Amino acid sequence: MTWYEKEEAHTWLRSRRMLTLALLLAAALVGDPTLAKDKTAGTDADRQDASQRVIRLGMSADFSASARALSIELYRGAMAYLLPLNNAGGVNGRRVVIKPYDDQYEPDLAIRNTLKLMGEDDVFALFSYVGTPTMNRILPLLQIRHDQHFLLLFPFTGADTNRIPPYDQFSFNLRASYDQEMKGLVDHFVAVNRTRIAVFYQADAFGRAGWGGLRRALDKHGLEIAGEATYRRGSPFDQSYDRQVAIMQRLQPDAVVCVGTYPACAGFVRDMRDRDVDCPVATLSFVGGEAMLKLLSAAEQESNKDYTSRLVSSEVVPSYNDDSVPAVREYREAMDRYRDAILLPDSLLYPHGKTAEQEYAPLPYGFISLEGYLNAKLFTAILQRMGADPRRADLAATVLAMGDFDLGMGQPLSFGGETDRRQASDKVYYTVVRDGRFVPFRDGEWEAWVKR
Amino acid sequence: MRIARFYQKTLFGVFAIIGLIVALTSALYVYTVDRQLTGDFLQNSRAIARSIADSNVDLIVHKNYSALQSIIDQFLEISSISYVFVVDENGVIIAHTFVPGVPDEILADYKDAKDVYDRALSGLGNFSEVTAGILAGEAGYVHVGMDKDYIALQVQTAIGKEVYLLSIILIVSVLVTYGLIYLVSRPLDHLRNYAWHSLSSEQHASPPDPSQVKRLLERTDEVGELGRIIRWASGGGS
Repeated sequence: MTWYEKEEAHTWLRSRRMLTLALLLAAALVGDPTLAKDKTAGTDADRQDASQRVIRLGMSADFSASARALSIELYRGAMAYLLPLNNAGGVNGRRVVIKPYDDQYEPDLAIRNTLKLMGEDDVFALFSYVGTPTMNRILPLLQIRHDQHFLLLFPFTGADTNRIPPYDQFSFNLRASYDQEMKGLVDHFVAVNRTRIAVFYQADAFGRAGWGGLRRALDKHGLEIAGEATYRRGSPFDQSYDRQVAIMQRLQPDAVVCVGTYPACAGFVRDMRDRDVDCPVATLSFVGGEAMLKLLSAAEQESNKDYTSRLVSSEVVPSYNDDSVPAVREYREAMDRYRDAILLPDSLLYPHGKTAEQEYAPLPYGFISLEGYLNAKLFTAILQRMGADPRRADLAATVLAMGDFDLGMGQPLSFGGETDRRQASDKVYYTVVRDGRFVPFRDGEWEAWVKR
Repeated sequence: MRIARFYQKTLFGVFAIIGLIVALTSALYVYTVDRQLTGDFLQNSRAIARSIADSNVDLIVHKNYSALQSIIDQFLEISSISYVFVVDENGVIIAHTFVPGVPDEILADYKDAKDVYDRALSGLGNFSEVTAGILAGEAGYVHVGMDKDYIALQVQTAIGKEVYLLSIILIVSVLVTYGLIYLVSRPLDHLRNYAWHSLSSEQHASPPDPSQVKRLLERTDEVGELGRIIRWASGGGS
């Protein structure tokens, strides 16, 4: 081939590439308006939102490490609501999609994910983040970029950080706070004469949030925390928790409150019962009750011991077994119907390759997926109120204008009002394990735990 | 390679002096590095304690324990920092980094508000703990614990490298000195051999090589001069 022929061939290739690129761009602009930016908007990010036919929600959570069951189930619950919604045309013609990123429950990764979501993904809002340590670290980003009006909607945490200044203005919550969960637990324990309450907690911001809630709740009764034991974030179920149990043996508490995730809390309960520390144990909603129950039930079968009695869990959504609640009925139907269609891609669940040991077995129902379902339902209700031209800048005002509303949870919910409420629900539910499943623990039933 | 006895004491003296220099330099280095590094670690810890105490007053006063915990957790990424805990104005530990719990030794005396604590925590090791007052101690104290074993390891590593270098210098110096003294003492050995052969009536086992004697007598230094005197004394002419 001569020099001239080579040059001609390169020119032809370049022209063909340019043509292909031009065609792709044109196709994108004509065929998928979500990729096209409104040229008239100039630098106005909100105008860009308005031109999107897809509403993207950004989610950073632990999909592959120690707390993955929580994040996976929260995502599955949200998708169980969004999938049929999108199949039916979405909200005002817009599909609602979740862009998930794995942060392995590590704050630094959560920051990186959030920057990506706010930058190249240009999401409409941050949605259903999982965990206190991660959330605490990303909240300042929302403040730094306040001119872009990003909000964190319905994170899966009851910590105070996004409920009090200076970050309360960047977030809305559906669920009750850890303080409210703790207050309820402490009130019930004190009512049955269990006043020496100790705490087992994750040595990080989440654990400290629960510790703080317990301290405040006890303070109202003129009591103090009886003692404490901690564990490192990411501790597995198989690890020994004997050192923590030894502290509890020494303290002889009337009850122990666990502020942790399911592997550690289940391991701690197992070791407590193995060493005959049999006081009631309470867990908070973040624990992931079903995943914990699964671990304890398996351990019970191996050891022939009872690990699941005298175990109470506070929850911030109704029981997923309570068919009398309309939202629960809808949720169960959706979970049954979309069970296999709402799992995350393997690339997120198994970043280091899928093995039989690691394979995640989705739960049919659970408190966390129910919360995810309700989060998505609430976001949809907000989006419907934003009309045909939803803009990020109008999101906070729309939520605050909602006032009282009903999600079919069988309880009143509200945003805004005189106090500018940013947390819709204050309700805390209690459940215990009976016959291998969680059932509601009614107020009168606490009497069975009276300390004589 | 034999050294003339004449120089053996000199050689020993040189070795002793070099050894002494190495030992004194090492000792001075150990002392300086130990003090300097330990001082630096203490200084850094003090700065960390001060930074937590000064920049998070709002969190501490408003009891935002979760955010406070997030902040102190980040300092554990610094290798020398083993633990951090914050005490409020009532003497309650409101945030800490201990697992599985606050050690008994700390619970026994953390309220003393000393500037520096030397702690031996069972099962954990030895620590230097510095404190910083929040609002001059009015709102509590921040305590930062450094692992003394880690500091000692850093000091030992720095010293080890220096001593290693000095040892190499010592060995090289000894070898070079030995070589030089050998070069100096070899003509003397030849001279001694020549003197024996020329002046003594005893039969010498190995008579000197004539070319060696020639080179010896041609030398312009004191050895050559002495050789020529021996030749003259033995009747061999000037």
